[in-house]
Amino acid sequence: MDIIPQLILNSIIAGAIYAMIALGFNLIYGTAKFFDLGYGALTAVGGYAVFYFYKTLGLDLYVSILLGVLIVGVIGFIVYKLVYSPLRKRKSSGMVLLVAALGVLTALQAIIAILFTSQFQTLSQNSSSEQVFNILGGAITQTQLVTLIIGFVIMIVIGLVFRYTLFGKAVKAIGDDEEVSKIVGVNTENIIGWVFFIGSAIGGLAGILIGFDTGIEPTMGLSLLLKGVIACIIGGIGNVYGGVLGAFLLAFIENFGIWHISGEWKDAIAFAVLILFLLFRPHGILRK
Amino acid sequence: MEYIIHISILISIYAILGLSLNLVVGFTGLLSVTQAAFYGIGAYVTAILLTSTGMNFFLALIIGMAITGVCSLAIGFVLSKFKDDYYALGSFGFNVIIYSIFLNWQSLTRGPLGIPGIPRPSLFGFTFSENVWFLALSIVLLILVYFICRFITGSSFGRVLKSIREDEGAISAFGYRTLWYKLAIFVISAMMASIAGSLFASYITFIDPSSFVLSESIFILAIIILGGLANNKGAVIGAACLILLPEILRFVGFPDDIAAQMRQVVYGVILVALMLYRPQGLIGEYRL
Amino acid sequence: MNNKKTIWITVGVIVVVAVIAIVAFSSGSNKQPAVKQTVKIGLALPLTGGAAFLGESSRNAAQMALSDAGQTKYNYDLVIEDDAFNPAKTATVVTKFVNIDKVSAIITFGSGTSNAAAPINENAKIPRFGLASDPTSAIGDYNFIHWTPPFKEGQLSASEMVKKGYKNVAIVDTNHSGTLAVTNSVKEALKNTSVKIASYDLTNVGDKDFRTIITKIKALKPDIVLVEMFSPEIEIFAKQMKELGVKIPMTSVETFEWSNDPSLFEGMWFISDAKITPSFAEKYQAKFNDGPKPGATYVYDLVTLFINNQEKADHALSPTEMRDSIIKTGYENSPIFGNIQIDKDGFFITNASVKMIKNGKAVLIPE
Repeated sequence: MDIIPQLILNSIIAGAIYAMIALGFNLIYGTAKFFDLGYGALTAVGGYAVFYFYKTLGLDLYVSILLGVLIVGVIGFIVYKLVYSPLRKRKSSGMVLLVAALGVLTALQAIIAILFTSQFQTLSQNSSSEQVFNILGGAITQTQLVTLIIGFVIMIVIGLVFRYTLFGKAVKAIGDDEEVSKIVGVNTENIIGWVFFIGSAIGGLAGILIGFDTGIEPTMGLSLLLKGVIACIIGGIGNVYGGVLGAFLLAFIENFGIWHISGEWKDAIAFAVLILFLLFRPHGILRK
Repeated sequence: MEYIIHISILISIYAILGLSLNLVVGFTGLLSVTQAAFYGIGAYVTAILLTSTGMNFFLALIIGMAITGVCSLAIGFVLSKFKDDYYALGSFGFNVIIYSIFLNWQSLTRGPLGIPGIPRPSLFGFTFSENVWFLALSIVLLILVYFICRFITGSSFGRVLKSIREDEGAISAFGYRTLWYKLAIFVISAMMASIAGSLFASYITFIDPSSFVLSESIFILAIIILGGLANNKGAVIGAACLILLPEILRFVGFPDDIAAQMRQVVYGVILVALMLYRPQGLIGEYRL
Repeated sequence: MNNKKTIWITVGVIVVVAVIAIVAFSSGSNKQPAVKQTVKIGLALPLTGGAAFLGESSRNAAQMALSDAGQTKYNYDLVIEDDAFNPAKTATVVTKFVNIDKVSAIITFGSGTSNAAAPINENAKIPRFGLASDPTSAIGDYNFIHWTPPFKEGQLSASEMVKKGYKNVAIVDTNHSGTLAVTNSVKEALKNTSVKIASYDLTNVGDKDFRTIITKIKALKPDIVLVEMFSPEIEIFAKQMKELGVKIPMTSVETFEWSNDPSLFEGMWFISDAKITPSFAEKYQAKFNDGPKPGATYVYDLVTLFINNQEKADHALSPTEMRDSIIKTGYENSPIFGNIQIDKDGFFITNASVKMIKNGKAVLIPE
C-alpha cells in the first residue's frame, strides 16, 4: 500500500491549523511588531467560550461560534488597550512587550483553568461519528476540511483588504513605518486596536476549530503559538501569504520527520528548522 | 526551620542563575531565553558522573562547566548572528532542542524517568548531607559567583559589554571585535549556570528533563527583570522575591480548589504590572 | 537615590514578614486544642501545568474519600499543595508538609516527584506513599509505592498476546515516566516469544496529531496495536484510527480504563491494575460529572487507609506509628483493591488482571 498520499494529506491537515494560528499572529506582528505570546492563550479562550455557549448553555452551534469569535476579539482588544497600548506609547522595547505578553499568557491560562478546570474537553457532540471524505487516496474529516477552507478564505480576504481598502492600506502603512503613518494622518491607535480585535478573533476561531477536531485544554496555546511563529518566520514574517506557506511547509517537514525519524523529535525538528531559517533566510521565503 | 533552609538553598541556586543571565541580558543587552539548557547540562553532567563513576562532586562540577562551556560556545556563535526579537526566538529554539535531547537520549539520561540517587557533595571526608551545610556550600558558591560578576562588570571588559548594549555599531567602529566579547560573556554566563545545575542535581538528588524546560528559562529571565537588569544585587533580590512569592501565597489561604491557579494569576499580573509601571525592575540600571 | 532606598526597605520588609509568617505559622500549628484531635495528610499533586487534569482528579478522589469516611473520631485535614509535576517543587512542598504542617503521612504523584521527595521523608521519618511506576523511589523505611508494578502488567500483557496467537504488535508509547516503565516491561516480556514488535513509536505528552504514526502502522498491518497513552491523547488516537479507516484492534495497559470515552475501545481486551470495584468509578462519575483519571483510585485508597488506621487507634498517631500500623496490618478490605499485601521494600502488591471494554465499561474477563 502506498502511504505517500495519506502522508501528504496529513501534512495539509496539520498545516491548516498552523496556518490559522499564523494568519492571526502575522497580522498582529506585522502591525505592532512584537511577539504577542498572549495570543496563544486566546486560542483557548475561543475554545472555552464556545464550550460554554454550545455545550453548557446549549445554544445553537453557529450562534455559539459567532459569540465565541466576538468574545476573543473583544478580549484581545481589551488586553491591547490595558497592556500593550500604554507600553507602545512609551516606546518600550520589544522585550518589555514580550515579558508583558508572557504575563498575559500566564494569567489568562490560569483564569480559564479556574473557570473551567484543566480537564480536556471536546466541542463536537459526538466525536466518533464525524463524516470522513476520501480525497486523492487519503482520508480527511469534515472539520479538517472546513478548517482548511476557512484558512484559505481568511487568507484571501486579508489579502484583498490589504490591497483594496483604505483600512488595509492603513494597516500596511503602519507596518511599514508607524511614525510616518501618524504624521500623514492615520489614526494608528484606532487601527492597531482593530488589528488586535481581528487577529485575536482569528486565533480564537483556530482554537474553536481545534476544539471540534481534537479538543481544548487551558494550556493548549503556547505550543500552538510557537508553531505559528515558526511558520511565520519560515514563510515570511508580516506577509499574509508567507505565514500560510510557512505553515504548510512546517507541517510537511514535521510529518515526514515523524515518518523517517521518530515522533518524539517533532518539536526539536521544528525549532531546528526555525534556527536554520533565521541563519540563512531571516526574512523567510516570501519577503514582505 | 528545614523549610526556610530549603527555600534559602533554592534562592541561592536561582540567584546564581539570575546573576549569570544578567551578564548576558542586563549588561550586554542580548535577550537570551536559553539559560535553563545550560543549567540542565551542568545538572546532567554532574548527575551522570556522580551516579556512574562515583567521582568527587567538585571535580564533576568543573567537568560540567567545561562541557557546558563547549556547548555554549557553539550555541552562542549561532545566536550572535541574530538581533533583538530574533535573538530571543533563536534562544527559545535552542532551549527546546537541548530539552529534547535530555528527554530523548534515553541511554544516557534515562529520559523522562530521570536520574535518581545522586549523592550529596563531599570534601576531605566531610559530606554535605545536612541541609544546613549544603546551604553554607551554596552560599559560598553564590558569593564566589557574585564577586566574579562584580569584577567582570566593573572591569574594562564589562564597560565594553555595556557599550555593546548601548550602541554596538559605535563600539565596533572603534575597532572592538564585538563578536568575541559577546561570545566570551555568553560562555562565562553559561558556565555559571552550570554551577547552579550541579548544586541543584546534588541537592534534590534527582533530576529529570522537566526541570529544564523553556518555562524555566523564562522564570530565570523574570528573576532579573523583577530584580533589575544590569544590577548584580538586583539578580539576587529578584531570585529571593520570585522564590518566596509562591511560598507566601501558600499561606494566604485561597480555597484549595483554585489556590494553585490563583498563584499563576498573581504571577502573571505581577509581570504585566512590572512592565507597565517599573520596567527597570526593583533596582535595575537598564531598561529593556 | 532616595527611590532606591525605598525599594531596599520594601524588599527587606517583605522578606521579614515572610519569615515571621512562616515561623509563626509553623509554631502555631503545634498547639491544637485537645477537643477533637486533628490528623493532617499532605498531598503533593500537579494542579497547574499540563498534568493539572490528573492532579485535579486525585484531589477530588481524596476529598471523596474523606466524605465517604462519614463520622470519625478524629478530624482529618487534607493539606493539598501544587507541585506542577516538577521534582524541585515537590521537594519544596514535601519540606513544607514535614516542617510547617507536621503531617502524619504524605502522598506524592508521579515517579520523578516521588524520587525527589524520598530522601526528605527518610530524613524526617514521615511515611510517604508515591503513585509511581518507576520503582526507584521506594528507598529506606519510610517510602512506599502504591501502584501496580509495571513488570507484572507487562508480563501479563505479553502472555495474553502469545495466548491469542498474535504474530506482530505495533507499539505506540508516550514519553512519560509512567508509560515508559510499562512499555519497557512489555518489550522485555515479549523477548524470546513468538510475538514480534513490528514498530515502536514514541509520542510526547500533549501531542494531538498521530495521523502519520497511524498511517505508518496501517501499512505495516500488525495484528494488534499496543497504545500506551493518557487521556485525552488516547481518545484522539482512537478517533484518528477510525478516521483513517484503520480497523486493527488495540490493546493497552491500564489506559483504556482511564479514558473519558471507553466506548471507543468497545470489545478490546487490556491489562488493568487489579480488580478495581466498578462502584468507585460510578460514584466518582456521579459526584464530579467526569470519569476518574489515573491515580485517583490510589489516592482514594490511600486516604481511606490512613483514616481506617487512625480510627482504630486511641490517640493521634505519630508518623512512625502510622507507618508501623500500616505495615503491620497490610491493607485489608481496601475499598478499591480488596486485600493488599505490602512487601518489605515498601511496595503495595496489587495484581494485574485482564479486562475488556463491554458496553462502554471495563469488565473482568474470567480466567
